[in-house]
Amino acid sequence: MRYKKICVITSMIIALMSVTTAYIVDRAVPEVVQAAIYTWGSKGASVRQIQTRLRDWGFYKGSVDGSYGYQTWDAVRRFQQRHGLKADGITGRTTLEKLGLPTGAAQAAGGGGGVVATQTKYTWGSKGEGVKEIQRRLRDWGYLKGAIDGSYGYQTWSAVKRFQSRHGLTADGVAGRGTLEKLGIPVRTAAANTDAARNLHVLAAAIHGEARGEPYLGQVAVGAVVMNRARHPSFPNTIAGVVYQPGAFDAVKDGQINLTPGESSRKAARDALNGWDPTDGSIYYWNPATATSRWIWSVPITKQIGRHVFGKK
Amino acid sequence: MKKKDNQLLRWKTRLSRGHMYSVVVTILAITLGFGMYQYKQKLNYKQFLQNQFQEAFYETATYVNNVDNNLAKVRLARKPPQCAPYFAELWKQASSAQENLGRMPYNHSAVSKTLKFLSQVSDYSYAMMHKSVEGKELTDKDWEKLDQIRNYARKLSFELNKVREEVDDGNRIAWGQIEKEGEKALEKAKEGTEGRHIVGSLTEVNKQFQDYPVLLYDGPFSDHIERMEPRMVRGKERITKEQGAEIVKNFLGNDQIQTVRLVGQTDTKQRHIIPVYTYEILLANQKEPTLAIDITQEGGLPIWMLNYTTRPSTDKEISLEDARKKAEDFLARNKYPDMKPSYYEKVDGVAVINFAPEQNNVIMYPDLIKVKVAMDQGEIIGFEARGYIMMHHKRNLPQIKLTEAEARQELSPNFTITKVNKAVIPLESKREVLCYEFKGRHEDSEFIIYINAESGKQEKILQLITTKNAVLTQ
Repeated sequence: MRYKKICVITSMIIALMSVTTAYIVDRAVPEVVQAAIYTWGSKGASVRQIQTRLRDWGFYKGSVDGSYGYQTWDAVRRFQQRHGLKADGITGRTTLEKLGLPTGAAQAAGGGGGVVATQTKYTWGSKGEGVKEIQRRLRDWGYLKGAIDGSYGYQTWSAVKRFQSRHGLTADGVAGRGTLEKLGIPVRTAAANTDAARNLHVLAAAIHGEARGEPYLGQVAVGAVVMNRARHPSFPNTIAGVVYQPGAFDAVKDGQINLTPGESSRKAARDALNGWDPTDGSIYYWNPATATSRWIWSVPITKQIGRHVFGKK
Repeated sequence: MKKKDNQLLRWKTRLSRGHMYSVVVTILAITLGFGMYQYKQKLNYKQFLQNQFQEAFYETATYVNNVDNNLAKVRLARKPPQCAPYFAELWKQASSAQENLGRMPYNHSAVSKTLKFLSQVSDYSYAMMHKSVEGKELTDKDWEKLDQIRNYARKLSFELNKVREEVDDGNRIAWGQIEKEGEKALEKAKEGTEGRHIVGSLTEVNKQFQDYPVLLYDGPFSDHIERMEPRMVRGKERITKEQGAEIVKNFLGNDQIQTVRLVGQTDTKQRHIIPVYTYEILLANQKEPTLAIDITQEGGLPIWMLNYTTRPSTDKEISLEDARKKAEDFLARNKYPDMKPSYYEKVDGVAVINFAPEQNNVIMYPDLIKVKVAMDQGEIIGFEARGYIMMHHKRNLPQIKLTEAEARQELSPNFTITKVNKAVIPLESKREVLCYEFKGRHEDSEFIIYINAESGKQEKILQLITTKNAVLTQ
């Protein structure tokens, strides 16, 4: 009797365990998604972004310190109230969207519906997706009453003007870089077809995956190492070749390379592509606190930036 | 309440009497099935990867073998025009071998020298191919180098073939092992135990490249490039870190500086690097340092500077023309004379402007300086002068043997010239040549063509990918 009971319980436990194991095996590659919910006690760059937006729009009076305290919570609550969301002070997906902030890896490049501005200036007579996105934002925030027709006419012009004067920009009704930024629409201008632009994304992703917690200079430095490797005879000759070389970068191995690179990583990638190299030609870097390879310590160090040391042989 | 208790009791009894076995068995079966499915999936992925690595290995072995063969053949071809196709073949085969070897999951240190060797073979063959195409005889020295290369290629080919035979005999390579264990597998390989075959052999080969001689030739992977000395600073007077801080202040020349702090300095015993002091600058109204700069310890020259202060968003933008003027003023104030802007590009509210000095109306492109200008107010937010520090010096320019009219003869008749300059340009090997620079158009595209002013050889053709935001100075 007892024996049978034990049998049944054991088999159930085994069953449960194998389900979990199978599940874990399936998830061997961790799916890295930026937390899409921010609330009391949340910290970091995303909170800082939220605070900046709220401050820009006059909801938040405190300092942008990256820590989600009472003031932030209260500001979010008022922002939510104002925009017809459930006013709970918790920044979830919809609130992020209304704030014009990316809601995590699931969304394509940048804010909103993934629409990016392809021009740096929109004015009377402009047409297209970019204008539509401007209109959508303006309507969401109550500046525009008219239709979203993708054509920059009087209504859009005056809505932009009101938006600008409200946000301390020159109120000329022309949506330039600053206005687009305040609207939360990322600007990606033409250069898209050059070699540099094609490499930019891979490099920015590598920097984001490997060094997003590092100081800006450390991010440029990681980008510079990739560039130096591409020029070095012992490594593949292209940026993609270097980044995806088996075993070369941890962020490639564990999938963090697939995160959408942030603005800072893109800037750092651009500096590295333009030839800025804080590492003086280094082709290796490692974190002295976590490096497991004994071999790496035979590489002479040229510099330490943030948590990484850089070196070449 | 009572009813519920009864139900629970009944369930318990049924379970204890074994009537519920069917449920348990079903759950078990489902789980087992699911687990097996997952396991099979995992095996499939693993097999897929194994196959990729296996293929890369076979390809590497084949390409290296071809390199060896072609090196033998080219010795017999001897005359320049006959040599050219073999060198072309060598260039391609060695490059493919390098690519495939780099795709396998070794620890980089196990194959780094082998990879470098293959890069150099490919690059050297390319240089020799050029020589042959131009009809030049290879010198005794060239042949000597080719013999050396062949010795190593043969060794490498031999080792790879040995492993391949073992693999063909059914001793498959445990790629998973190599990947997972990384360094540990390497250690074991040295001891001659697990995972011996390929890692062991390749580590052996890699060790043999230790005494591989320095290879100097006219190509980008030649060993002379790593050994180049920075002309502007080598042998110059050494400055102290306090002097360096003064230089930083003068260089930035703005009243926004709160503090200048030394955050690092290069260990000067290392070879082939430029020893620097690194400073971080705290600017006014900032809580953290947002500007960094490196000053060379010898000669005290700024080598790069980056100001990464977050800039408030604004619609205002100065013109590229004004940005260029700001950059020119900055260079003039810091005593970089005769710097001419060559190309500038504006992305995301920042312009990067390339400058090169002029000597007797000849532009010195190797001595490049880049200046970054923020387009909101025209502040200088970046400076990069590695090219200048490495290469700048007063050059003894060679005699120009070609007139401009003669150089024009070398151009395609369909090319419409818009501007002609004289310039010194660096080739990929960093060798400098004096050229006529022809800017112009062909069909819809803009090009710059460089004709050697001594030999009339067409050295380089650049295509300009023009965007709305890029300007090439005429």
